[in-house]
Amino acid sequence: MTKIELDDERLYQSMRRVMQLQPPPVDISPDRRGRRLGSLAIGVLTAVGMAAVITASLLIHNQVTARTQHAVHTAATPMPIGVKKSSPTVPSWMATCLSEASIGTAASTGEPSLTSDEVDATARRFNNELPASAPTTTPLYLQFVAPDPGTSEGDALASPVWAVGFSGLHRQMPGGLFTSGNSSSSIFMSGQIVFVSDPGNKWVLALDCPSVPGSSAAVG
Amino acid sequence: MATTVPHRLTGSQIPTDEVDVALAEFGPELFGLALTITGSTADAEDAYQAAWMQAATHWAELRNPRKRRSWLASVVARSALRTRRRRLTWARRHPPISEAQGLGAMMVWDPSLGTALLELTDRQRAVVALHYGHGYSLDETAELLRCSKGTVRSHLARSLTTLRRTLHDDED
Repeated sequence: MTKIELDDERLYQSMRRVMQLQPPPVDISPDRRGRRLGSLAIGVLTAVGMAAVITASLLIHNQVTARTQHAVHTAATPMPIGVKKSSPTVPSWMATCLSEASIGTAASTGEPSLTSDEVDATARRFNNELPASAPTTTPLYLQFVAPDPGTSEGDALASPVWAVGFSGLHRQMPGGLFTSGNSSSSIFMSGQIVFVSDPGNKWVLALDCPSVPGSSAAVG
Repeated sequence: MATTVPHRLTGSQIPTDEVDVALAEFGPELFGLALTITGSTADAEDAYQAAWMQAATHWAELRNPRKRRSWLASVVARSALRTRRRRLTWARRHPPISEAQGLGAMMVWDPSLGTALLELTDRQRAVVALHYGHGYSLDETAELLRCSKGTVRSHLARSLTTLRRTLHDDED
């Protein structure tokens, strides 16, 4: 009991002295509050941005999954052909590649300007170049992939710059250094036109697009 | 009956004169409270600064100015507990490369008690600081920390047991 009282007194005296220490200066100026609010705002915006990216990724994934499932379920019916664009303009290197592949482009923007019949004919033309070991019986569908540095293959395939009759890809892209479509820097590969057999979703042909304008597109 | 809706003050709305008076009057004991709870001068300064920022922007929410002291103690105590929680989370992820001046070093008049206080939990230190340092009753302390009276009594009893044991061990 004596010990407790002794500790009480010791605690009381010590804690009272703690409460008399010199405190640091406090800054409640508008500048500091502004900076604090600014950092809070950045945090909130970052969180919102991340949520938006995650939502967009989920939407793209769901869309690809739904289209793939649809293709499997309607094996006897060719997919409707349409043009899907996620970029308003096509980089010049891509226009070069399209030209070398004899794919028509608009003179003003360089965008592919194919009708559904032309898409079908283009796909069939490349289909005829396929080796006999990889025949397809349905029209091929093509998309243009232009991945940025650091982009995973899955992300690149899920966000084609330009696509026709896109029905989803299951195949991994071949190994290689994917870089952005900046023709001014040394680029190993700027993009690919990927032909996909539908409804089998087999990736059967890729037309590599060299980054250097004027060089030949390799079909393989 | 008309009620006043609490609102957050911004910019020039903050009564800086009143805040300055409160800083001069209660600053030392509130910093001591933050130091006791966090156990480190660096964390105490962070908690102390954050608490005053929070208090300044919510200055108008206190309807009875006579309760300013206990209101500020509550704000500082919760700020210090928050800071301590963040520090522990951070410490689990990042090993410390330097130690700020701790409570034991600051309590030059009784360093063994300062070191022993670090053996307590954050909440236990908050109870000890508010009860012994600020002179609040245990019921008032419970109200300030927004916990039950029984919890505060339990914290205090365990604090004294731990302190007695630690001091006894040290002084043997």
